[in-house]
Amino acid sequence: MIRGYFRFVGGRNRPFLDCDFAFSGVPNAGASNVRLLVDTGADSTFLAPRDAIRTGIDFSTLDRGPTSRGVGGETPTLLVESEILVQGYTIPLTLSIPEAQRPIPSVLGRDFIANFALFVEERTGRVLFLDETDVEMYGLATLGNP
Amino acid sequence: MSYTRVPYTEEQKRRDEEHLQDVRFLEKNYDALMAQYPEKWIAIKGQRVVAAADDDLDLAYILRASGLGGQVSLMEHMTKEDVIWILANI
Repeated sequence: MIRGYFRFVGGRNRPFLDCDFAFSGVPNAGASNVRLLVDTGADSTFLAPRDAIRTGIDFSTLDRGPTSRGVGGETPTLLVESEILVQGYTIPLTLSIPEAQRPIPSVLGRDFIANFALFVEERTGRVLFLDETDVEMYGLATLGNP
Repeated sequence: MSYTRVPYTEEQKRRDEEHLQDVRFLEKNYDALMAQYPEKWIAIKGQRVVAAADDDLDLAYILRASGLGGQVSLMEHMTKEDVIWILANI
């Protein structure tokens, strides 16, 4: 099980998970505890430009990715191969880096979330990513089935 | 694509706990930091502000140049502007 958390700052309560990143093919780049907003509406995980810059990624070496479309419009993206390490789990992911003009958070999308059962309860501040063993252990394998 | 289980080392647990202490530091001192760094972006590590700048990219480049980029625990915008996040990318 991976544990995220809700954070209440500036009048808004939001779910986060903090992860370490390594980037294959990008020597000397990497970061610990990058804060990602848990977003089930996002197809893919993306790094905010500020997080990509501070981790040491050289944008000029990256391939272009698909356009990202959100409420605020469309944004071109760059792609970087990564490995996420979080609380005893590693997951290889192709990360998008949107060339956004406004500050945005880094986002944990469904390419990561799809590996787990996601339990979110704002009332108690819990954000839990349950693996297959957890799902069996807690009797959730058939929960919600017709 | 799926996960692989790896040891959750004592070193990683220690770093994660230190990070959560930074998260709590920010929450606990939010009003004071807001007063000290109004409309600034700040970086927190070890329960103290290690850098500040007018925008997030400037702060990221400062951290990168100082060698702290991969270690900083939090980057936060100390603003009173109320922004609703609706982000879903497709």
